[in-house]
Amino acid sequence: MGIEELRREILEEAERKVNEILSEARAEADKIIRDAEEKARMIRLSREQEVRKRMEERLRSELSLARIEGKKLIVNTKWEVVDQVFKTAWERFTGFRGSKEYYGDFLPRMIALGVNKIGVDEVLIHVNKEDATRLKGLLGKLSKDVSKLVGRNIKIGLANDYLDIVGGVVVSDVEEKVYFNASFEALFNRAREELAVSIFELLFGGG
Amino acid sequence: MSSEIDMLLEIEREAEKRILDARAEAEKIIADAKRRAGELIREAESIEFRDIEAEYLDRIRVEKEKVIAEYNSMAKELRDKSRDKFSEAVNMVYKWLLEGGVE
Repeated sequence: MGIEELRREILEEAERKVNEILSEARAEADKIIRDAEEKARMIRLSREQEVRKRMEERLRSELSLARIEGKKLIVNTKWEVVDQVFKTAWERFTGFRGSKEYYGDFLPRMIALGVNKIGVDEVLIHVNKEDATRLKGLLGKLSKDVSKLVGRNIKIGLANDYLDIVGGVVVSDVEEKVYFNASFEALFNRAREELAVSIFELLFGGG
Repeated sequence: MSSEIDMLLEIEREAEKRILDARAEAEKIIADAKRRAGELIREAESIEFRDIEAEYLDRIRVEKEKVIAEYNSMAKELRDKSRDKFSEAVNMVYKWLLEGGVE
C-alpha cells in the first residue's frame, strides 16, 4: 500500500467517524426536542384541564350561591307579603279605635275577657289618655255591659295613670297585682305570634 | 522512510483533530437542544389560558343572570298570586284582633 493510499484511507476513516459523531448528536438533539415538545404539550394540556376544572368549580359555586340568594328572595318575598297583611290589618284596627263599636262593643268584651282571666268581681282598667277622658262618664254603662257579658255583677274603676298605648285596655285587679293586657299593641303582637304561620299558609299554601 | 512516517503521523494528528472538533460540535448541538427543550417546558408552564378564563367568566355572568331573573320572576308571580287571598288574610287578622284572640 502506497503512502498516498494510506493517507486517503486515514482521512476517509476520520471523515466517517466525524459524520457518525455529528449524525448521532443531531439524532439525540432531535429526540431531546421531540421529548420536550411532547412534555410541553402534556404540561399545556394538564394546565388547561386545571384551568377548566377550576373555572367549572367556580361556575358551580357561583350558580349555587345565586340559587341560595334566589331562594332567600322567595322566602323574604313571602314574609314581606305576610308583613303587609299585618300592616294593613293594623291600620284597619287602629282606624277602628274611637268608633262607636270600639267603646260599645270592643272594650266591654276585652274587659270581660280580663275579668274572666283574673277571676275577680272588681277591676281597674288602664287606657290611654283619650279613652280615659271618654270613659270617665261611661263607667256605669261599661260595668253594666261587662256584667252582662260575664254573667255576674262587676265593678269597674278607672286607673289614675294613663298608658302610652294606641288603644285597647289593660285590666287589673284593684291591688294591681294581676294584669290582663288587651292593649292594641299586645293584641297585635299576639296575633303575629299566633297567626303568622296560618297567614303564610293561606297566602302561599304552606310552600 | 523517516519523512514518510512523519507525514503519516501528521495525517493521524489531523484526523484526530477533526474527530475532536466533531465531538465538540456534537456537544454543542446537544447543549443547544437541551436549552431549547428547557425553554419549551418553561413556556408551557407559564401559559395562563386567559381566553378560557374569560370564556368561563362570561358564561358565569350569563348563567347567574338567568338564575336571578328566574327567581325574580318567581317572586313577582308570588306577589301577584298573593293578591287573591290578601283580603281574606287581612280579615282573618283583623277579626282575631277584634275578638282579642278568642275564637
